[in-house]
Amino acid sequence: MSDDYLWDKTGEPDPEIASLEQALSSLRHEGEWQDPAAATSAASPPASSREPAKVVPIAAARRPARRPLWLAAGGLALAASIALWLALAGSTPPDPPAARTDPTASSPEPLPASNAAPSTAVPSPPAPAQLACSADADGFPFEAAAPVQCAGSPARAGKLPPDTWLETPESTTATLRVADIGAITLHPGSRLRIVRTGPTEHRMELVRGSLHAKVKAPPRLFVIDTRAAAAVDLGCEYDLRIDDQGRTDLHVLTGAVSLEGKGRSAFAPQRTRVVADPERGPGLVLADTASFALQSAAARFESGALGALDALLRAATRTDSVTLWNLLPTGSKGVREKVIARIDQLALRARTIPRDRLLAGDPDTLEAFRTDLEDLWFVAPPPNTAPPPDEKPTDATPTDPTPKDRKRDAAPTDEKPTDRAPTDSRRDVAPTDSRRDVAPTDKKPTDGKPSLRRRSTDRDATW
Amino acid sequence: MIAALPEGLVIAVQVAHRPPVVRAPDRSKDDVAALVTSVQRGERAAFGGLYSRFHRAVHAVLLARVRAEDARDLVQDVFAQALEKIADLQDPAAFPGWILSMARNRAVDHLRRARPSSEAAEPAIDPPPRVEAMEALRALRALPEAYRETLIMRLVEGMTGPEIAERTGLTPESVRVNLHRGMKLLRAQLDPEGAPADEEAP
Repeated sequence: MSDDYLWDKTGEPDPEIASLEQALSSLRHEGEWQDPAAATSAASPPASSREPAKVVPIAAARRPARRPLWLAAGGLALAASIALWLALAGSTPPDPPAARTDPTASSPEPLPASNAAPSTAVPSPPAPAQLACSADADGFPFEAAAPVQCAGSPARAGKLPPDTWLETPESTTATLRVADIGAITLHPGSRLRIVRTGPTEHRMELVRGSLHAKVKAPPRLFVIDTRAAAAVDLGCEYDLRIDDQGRTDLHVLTGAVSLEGKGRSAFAPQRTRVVADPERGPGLVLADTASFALQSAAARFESGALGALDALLRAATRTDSVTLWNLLPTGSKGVREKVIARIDQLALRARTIPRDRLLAGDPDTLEAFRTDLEDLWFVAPPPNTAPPPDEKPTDATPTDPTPKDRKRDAAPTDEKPTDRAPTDSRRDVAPTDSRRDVAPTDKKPTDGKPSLRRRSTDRDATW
Repeated sequence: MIAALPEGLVIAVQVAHRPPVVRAPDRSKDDVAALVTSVQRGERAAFGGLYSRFHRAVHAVLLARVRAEDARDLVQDVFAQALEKIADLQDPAAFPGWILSMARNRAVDHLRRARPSSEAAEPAIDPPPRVEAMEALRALRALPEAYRETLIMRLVEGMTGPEIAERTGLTPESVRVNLHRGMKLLRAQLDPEGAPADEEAP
């Protein structure tokens, strides 16, 4: 253990301490002093301006009713005395409601690569639409069937330059061409801007609404920031939506997306969904075919109910390998141990993936394991689609579930999770490691598509 | 030019151009005492300085005892209470121990008023922290109090050992020992198999 690092953060960081620091930082207290008297004196403005997020701890802002009663009782008297005190002292009153806390506020500053929240943004001066969004402007071309707002002015078509907001009204969709790599469909009621664009990165920011992105580009060239996370394209097509609570809902249709934020990342391949919370970043990745039992257990697990892990694992089948894999990089050793046990029950781990290294969270081993699993995620037919009776999956292995099994796995079931485990294990436990011996991991896709495994890594750009 | 300036400003300029002092152990303590004195004299805005210096330490003390969700709320309560009573604080330099003691008492009051069942249940954190964070926090809370508070200040709040010493009033040596021993116990809590044989969790 590095005593220096533990003592004053100097010297070589102890990996375990650094890991604990990172995990626990989500509980760190943020906020500035809010004088109760000042807060009380501002009781008359609308709720949105009463407690600017800039100075109020988040939890407190969400539960103003939990403030001590004595504050409310003495509020008026304190307000009067403090107002008088402020006047005498020549102090300036508290800042007005901060536009920077508005998640829809525009920002002239490019977001850092690590994904900055719009709460740090400051309003940019409105630019004349005729100049900012004209066809001669340097930006991404857009068009819409009805006028949309570009730089605050109506426009049906034009070019969207960096740091300029494009907003769609509730009844209109706009399409935006992203350089030469793809297109975005901005759905009604959305707000989007280009953060920066260049040969190494096209970065955009969505602060409201939803979009559909279809991109054909090397991994990590195209990124969309939201308040909760950054959706890093790995060559794919996906839907991205911001819900009323500021959560980012990502649904990947083809290819893969890495959803990153708050020190976490989730690898979401095609036919999966992941939701990122503004406070804790991406959650668990769930296959489109995930059973209700799994979804329910995942939700409880993410909300801090550690006991839900067992239920989650019992509900997970081979088609949920993406959920299991995503638990490995972020989970603690105890969590990893249980997840690996379930992975082995389901015969998902090849002998070439050492258990001890997986348990230790070794990044290379995790990467290798993911590469193995990508055979299931990308090449196999959609897990929820049972092939015709006379058609066998092209990558079938001795332990692959039969079409009947697949259908049974995918269908929501009323049976209790505890009843599922024996069934699953009876079907899947089989010659666990021999599976990979029979089906080499370097087999090529048989559907003629380019190797999506390559597409999903940062090192290899196949597009 | 300098000669034409008021004497106080000349001194300030000279001080600003001094070479950096290698060690000024009591500076922060003096600053805190000065802030306390300012607040006691009626400079209410100075209380913000005390908050910025101590809110994390107060939060750590609370987090060591109550649910994370409640700890966040109680920080504001503790400081509001401190502002109300700061005129009664006889020794301004005693502020660190005074406000942390206030935080401990506030946590005890909170637990006393809370329904017993709610403390026994899984903590309903809002917003939910990372799962591994909750695991680590449970392990931290299982440590003896001295280690618990110190380690939460270090690992959760990101304070360094010297900062912890300043904010708690503990000696740097005590903080160092608490961190070192507490970390050993924490490792044992989190990974019983990997811990050395002689380091059992309490």
